[in-house]
Amino acid sequence: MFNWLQGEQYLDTGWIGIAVTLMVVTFILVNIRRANKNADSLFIRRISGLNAIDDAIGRATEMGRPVLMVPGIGVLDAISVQAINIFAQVTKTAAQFATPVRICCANAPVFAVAQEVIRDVYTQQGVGDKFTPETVQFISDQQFAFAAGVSGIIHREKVAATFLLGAFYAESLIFAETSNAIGAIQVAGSTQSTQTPFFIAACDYVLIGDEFYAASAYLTRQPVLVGSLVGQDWAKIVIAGMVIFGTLFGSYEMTGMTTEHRTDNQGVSSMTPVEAGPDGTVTPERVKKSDTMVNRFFNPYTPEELVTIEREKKPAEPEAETGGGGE
Amino acid sequence: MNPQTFAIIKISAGVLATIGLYSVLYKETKFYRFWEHLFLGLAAGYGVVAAWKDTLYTDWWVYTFGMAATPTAPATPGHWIWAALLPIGIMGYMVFSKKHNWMSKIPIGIILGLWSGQQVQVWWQTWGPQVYSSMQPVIPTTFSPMSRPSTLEVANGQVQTIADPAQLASVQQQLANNLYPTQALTNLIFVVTFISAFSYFIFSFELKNKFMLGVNKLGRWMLMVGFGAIFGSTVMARFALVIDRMSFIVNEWVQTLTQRV
Amino acid sequence: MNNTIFLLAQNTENFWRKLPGQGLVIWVVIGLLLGIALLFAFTQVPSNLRRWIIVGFTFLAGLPYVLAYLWPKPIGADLQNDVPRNLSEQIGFTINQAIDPVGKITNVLQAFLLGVGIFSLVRVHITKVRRKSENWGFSTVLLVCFALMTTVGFMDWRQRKFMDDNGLLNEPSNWGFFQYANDLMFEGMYQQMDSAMFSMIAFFILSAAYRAFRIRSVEATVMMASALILMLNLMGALTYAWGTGIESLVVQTGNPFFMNFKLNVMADWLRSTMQIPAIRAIDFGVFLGALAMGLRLWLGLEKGGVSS
Repeated sequence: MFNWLQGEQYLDTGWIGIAVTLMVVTFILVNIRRANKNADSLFIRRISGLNAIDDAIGRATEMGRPVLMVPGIGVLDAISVQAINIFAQVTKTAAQFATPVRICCANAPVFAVAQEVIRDVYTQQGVGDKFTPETVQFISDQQFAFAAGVSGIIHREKVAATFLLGAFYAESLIFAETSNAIGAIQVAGSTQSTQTPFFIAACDYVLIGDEFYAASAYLTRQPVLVGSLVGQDWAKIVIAGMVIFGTLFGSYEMTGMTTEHRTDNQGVSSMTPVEAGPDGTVTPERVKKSDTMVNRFFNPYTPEELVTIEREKKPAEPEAETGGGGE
Repeated sequence: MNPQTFAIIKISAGVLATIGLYSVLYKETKFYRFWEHLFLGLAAGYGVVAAWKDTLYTDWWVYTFGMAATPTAPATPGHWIWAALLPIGIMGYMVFSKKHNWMSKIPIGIILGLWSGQQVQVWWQTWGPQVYSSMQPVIPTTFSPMSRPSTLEVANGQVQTIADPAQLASVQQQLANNLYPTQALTNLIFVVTFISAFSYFIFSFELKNKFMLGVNKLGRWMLMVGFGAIFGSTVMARFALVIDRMSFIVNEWVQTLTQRV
Repeated sequence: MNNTIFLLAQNTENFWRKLPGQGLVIWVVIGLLLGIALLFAFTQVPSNLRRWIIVGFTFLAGLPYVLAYLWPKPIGADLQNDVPRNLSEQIGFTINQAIDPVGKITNVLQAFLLGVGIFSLVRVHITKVRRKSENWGFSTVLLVCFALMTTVGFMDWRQRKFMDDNGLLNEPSNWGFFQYANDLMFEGMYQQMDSAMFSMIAFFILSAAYRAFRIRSVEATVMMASALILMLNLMGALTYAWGTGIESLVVQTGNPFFMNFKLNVMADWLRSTMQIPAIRAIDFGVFLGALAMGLRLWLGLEKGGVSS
């Protein structure tokens, strides 16, 4: 019946993935629109780690020591950009009190972005002359050389507060414990969940998981960010609903019995009957997870006739030239 | 150079460097500072060379100019338009210019655009299977016995796998066909942990309901259990590293030095 | 743009792909000049258009991936050797072939931009040396090491890559100055310092754990209790002693159920029943946040940061 669709449908990825992705995208865009109309109507819960920011800067100002910020060692992506956005907020406050700022970068493109953004903040605050080459520094793009360099800075400059936000890996503890050793307040958050426990053990305030993303929405209350956060929440609720429904419905299905099981071999699905006993009778077996409707929903059933498609082959390439030659 | 002498110089430099960096654990001194700056210098140099030989040479130079034919391989064509990436890269250096600094955002925008596009592409490919695998069966299909039957037995005062093949096969058959209450409970804990931890990260709803506040709190505790597990599993791996360093200083260094004598 | 990508991905010689030779060199120069022309054109762009140029480049860069995801993917197709059956498949082939070269752009630009960081690093330290400010001596060390490592590393690579067809340099007895110097600086010092820094974490983990155990909050207790079970499980002697105890209990009672209380079974249970779902929940949120931010960056909705 669907011959004309053969080989062109979303069979290999399944339509569910595209549907969910588009749903999430829609949620986010719709809520950004909602927020643009009336941002105050949207609520964001308190995020405890963020209230510490002002305290930390206040302390640094009192002590006359710098504030250190590290946007992780990841490449230039949303995580580092997000970290820099948070640091821009911190810098805004710090610049008002003329507290020196040190931002240490481990990735050159991230450094370039930080340089731009932080310089803008200083200019907007009317203290452009306070922005020095030491404000935003590139230390090293090698993980542990970076760790050694930043430790050195923490010790020598006796920083009063450290903000470690971004993608941190094994080096997380080096920064956190070194700052602790000189008595600095630490606010930390890593998108790498494997490093979060170390931050929890070593730091004063920790942002867990995507509290990190919620942070800039919480701090700036920009409609785009707030709306996006609400959209993400909608998506989470739908996914949680899916998991609950799938769990219950799948569990119900798996209480039944069946005489054939689904097998998947290299993307080709088929039904294999349960083997008959020696007397020729087939004893039904319990439905497996792979036999359920829930499974079909996530892993489309793709019988051989649907996924085996004959295509013409390109004519064989002429012998590649050996020797220069060009055009 | 005499290989022996070189080996001694090399390993002694490594040992000194290790001690130099370790010294910061006691105090930040000029000794540490020296090794720190040496490390940073070497790392910067290594980074530049690696960027050229591992990325720019293969992905840019060879891709642009192609490769002339060799006796073993035919020529590969070059992609001339790739040469335009150099000026685009140079735009990044405009970050130091007061007038044209906006241009540095072009290569940065390209990198971020590529990254963003990939997110849309990989999001469900990464998470679809994980969402599916979080849906675990929670309804037991039998209540006798309550816990899954064991494939072990006690014989001759020892614990061993059931010896009788027919009995073992029957137990395995039962295990395949049934979900026992203890297993269902484990699965339920899995799902509840997932959902409660998940609900902790919902930011835009004010939780007033007592039940939801409870779920939220449970979520935080579950997160802590998960974090603790990571912490516990990592500690030993880190100690292995220190032991390796100690062995480098004590065994390898001393061995190399004494071999000479 | 799409057309360009399509043609880039073909495997025979065509307008975008030329075999090495003089012709190619001329084309490369043209490509370079095009880029330079673009650079100079941008210096003349009025400030109100700048944002749109950046947003445009960002959007175009992300587009191939989004299209590749949304467009029906030709099933079971061999992109290199098959002929598409119809227009829809033709487009699918084109997009999927474009992904590979487009993916290289990130690496190439990242590598070009490394120079921005290095330039800043060198500038900071040269200034320190020139002004003889505090610690200028150490800055000299850094600059010298940087220059040495770059030269030696590059020369060693060059000699191995182009002047050593028979692989003689794999044997230390054939080494020259650059091989010795590179080995000393990279293997002898850099690698050892890297390992030293990494291993230092063990000391920090101890002090962090000590403090965490002292915190008397319910959360910290929950975390450290679960950490303790996992740590004990990794101590061989203890696991063995505990396991033997459990086995003798099983023998005494004749009930194999007690086997579930072996340390490794409990640790595995804790990991698979609580650690995996908890961490999955966090990572899901993080990835969702990344997707949302990716979307905002791609569409130029982000007000602060790069597209301001």
